[in-house]
Amino acid sequence: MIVLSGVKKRFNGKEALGRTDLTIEGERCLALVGPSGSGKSTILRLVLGLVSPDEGTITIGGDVLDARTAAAARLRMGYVIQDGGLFPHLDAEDNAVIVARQNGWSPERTKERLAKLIDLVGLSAEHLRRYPVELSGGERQRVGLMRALMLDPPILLFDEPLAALDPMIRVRLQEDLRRIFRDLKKTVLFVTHDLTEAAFVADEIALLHDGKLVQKGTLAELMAQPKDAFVTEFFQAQRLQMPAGDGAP
Amino acid sequence: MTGMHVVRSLAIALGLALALGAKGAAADVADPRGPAVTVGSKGFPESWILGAALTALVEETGGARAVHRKNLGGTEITYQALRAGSIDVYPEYTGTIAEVILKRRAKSPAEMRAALAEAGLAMSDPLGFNDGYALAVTESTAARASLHSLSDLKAHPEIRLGLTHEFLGRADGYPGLARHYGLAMREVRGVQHELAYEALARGQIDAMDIYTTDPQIEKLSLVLLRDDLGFFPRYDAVLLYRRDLATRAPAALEAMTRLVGRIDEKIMTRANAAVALKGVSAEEGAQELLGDALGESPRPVGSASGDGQGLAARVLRNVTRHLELVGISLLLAVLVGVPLGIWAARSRSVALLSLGGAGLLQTVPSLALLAFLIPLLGIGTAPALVALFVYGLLPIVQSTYTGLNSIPSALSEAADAIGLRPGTKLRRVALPMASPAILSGIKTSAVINVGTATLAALIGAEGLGNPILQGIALRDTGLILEGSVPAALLALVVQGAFSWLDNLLIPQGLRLSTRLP
Repeated sequence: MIVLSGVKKRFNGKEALGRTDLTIEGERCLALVGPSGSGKSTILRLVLGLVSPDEGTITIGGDVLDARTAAAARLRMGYVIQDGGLFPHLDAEDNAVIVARQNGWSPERTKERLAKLIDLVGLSAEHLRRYPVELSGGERQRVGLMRALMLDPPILLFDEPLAALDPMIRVRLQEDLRRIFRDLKKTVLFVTHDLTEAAFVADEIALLHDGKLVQKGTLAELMAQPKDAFVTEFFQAQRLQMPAGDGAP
Repeated sequence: MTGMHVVRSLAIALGLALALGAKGAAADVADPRGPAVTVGSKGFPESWILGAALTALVEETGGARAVHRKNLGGTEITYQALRAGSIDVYPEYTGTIAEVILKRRAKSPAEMRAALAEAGLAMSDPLGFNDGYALAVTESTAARASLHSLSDLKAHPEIRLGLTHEFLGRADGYPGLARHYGLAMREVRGVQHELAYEALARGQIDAMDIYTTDPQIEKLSLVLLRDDLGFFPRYDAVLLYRRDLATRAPAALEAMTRLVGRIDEKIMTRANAAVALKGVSAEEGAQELLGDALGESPRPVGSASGDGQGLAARVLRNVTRHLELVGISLLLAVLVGVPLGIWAARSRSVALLSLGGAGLLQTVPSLALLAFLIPLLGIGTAPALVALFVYGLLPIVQSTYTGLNSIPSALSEAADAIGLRPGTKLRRVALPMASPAILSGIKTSAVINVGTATLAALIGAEGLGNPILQGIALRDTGLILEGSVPAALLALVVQGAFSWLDNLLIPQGLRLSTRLP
């Protein structure tokens, strides 16, 4: 469980995140949705300990996150960004195992884990010897997912992972991600600006606007009882009919 | 794997350079007795001949070993080498001692001796000839403008002067001359002395400064303009030496001072002509000179720069020496420059300081830098290595800094976010990604240093600059080519070697990304 209580963050004098309370339940997937600059990536970076809050505290599994504990906390989180965030000079395998190697895993243990993950993310062994530039966008994202899952962390963080992919590949990856989240019982924070995607992969949606949490709930709840005009507007902009019909899981 | 590659290749390079360095150092201490007397000479044939003659005289005594550090360069560098103890003695001229070294604090010989003694130096009595300054014009220019004396120049401000930089800067050179004679010449340019003959012959300049024992006067049929108002001081040749020589090697000093009063202008000009015009070596010229001056001929002695070997052996030795200089200085520049670049990429103040500092050092002219280094490090390999290191530093610091800073911020943040420790991130992500930039910086340094290392010959560090400098001084195109052709080929080889290193060190994934659209 990840808990943000009273967290505030400013960058260069500009408010990136207003006072926010947010709880991500264990083994559940919460999607952070909102337009650019709404504060969703800031929440992700705060949880990773890449930036520290000006006010408030963040706890992960009950432990308070601070500069001292951030490094250890990151090893309990897998992180995936747009286009996989792969290092171009390393092949797929070296990208996937870089942290395991740093942490002194034996070659056998690494190999075993890798074999399991290849199947899980839907790649084959020959992909492992390819460099990022030799992989398709979807394949890169699957390697990024392997890297995030390598240490089998309880928490997964995604920052617009599928934004650069074409629709067909995107749909297949969404299906695979949803299956993986549920099968592996991970606690997931999933940043996207696409409501349909959020509704499909996540259990709940947190809608953000101008650095503030506007509403949190299932897609059905948000559609049935929009808290304010922005929620309605955002739904309409994404061409989702109000009130909600079906389609939402 | 690629990280290991880099480390392994650097280790190999380090080992190689250390082996080369050790070899160079071993050569310096090969003789267990060590050189007892080191004779220096300045950058022109007359000085080499006198230096070789002094070396031969010391060797002849049998009691002391003499080494000739030939062709050290101008007054400043040679004098600093004497002050620093890198050489014990060299032939100098009274006019130069009074004006350049003592800066006109002393006039009479007694005053000069006292001033030199304060610096731990002494000078001998005159060797006999005056090698003074004069201005020379071609016969046709002299006839056209009816020039006979320096006073005649006053009526011809259109006469174009091509003067050595030293002559232009000295109080007893052009500034004093112009004041003394009231000259207002329209075009006065600094030209390297040996190149000035060429410029004069081709009509690109009309007059040049020249020494009165210059063998080219006769060869080019030059007319010396008479110093009718008595401006130029006398340039009597003397020995300038360290005072401790009298106690350290009295026999050697005594042997050298046998030349006092024995060399007149005729003897000196003849020896100069033999070396500068007939292609005789300085050592052979010295034998002629000693025969003329002392009526005897000591056994011939080779110089430290080893004339008289075959061409291939000379080129090989110079190339090897050149590569040692470039290799060791480059390695030092990498060992300092890459960490400095890494540090600069992390701290803004370090970036400002190191890039600014290295940039500033880059602008110091190489001759000035060498002149600064001699009092600290003497002459020879050490100051040359330091100078080359200094010039090699900026491209490496700059490229490391730029390479690291141009890594996309999303990838840099991803490296932190997935839990890489700073050390792992640097080794496995940042440095490999910056490696193309870093290698290109190192390549730039290497190519610059192959060129700059030719100047190391000015301070006795030898290498391919030696034949180039001697060739310029002797107007011997063959000698110039003997140094410059291998130097140019070496630059090409270095370029090629780096393309190969690129393949070895730049991770394959990065090479693929630059090849694909």
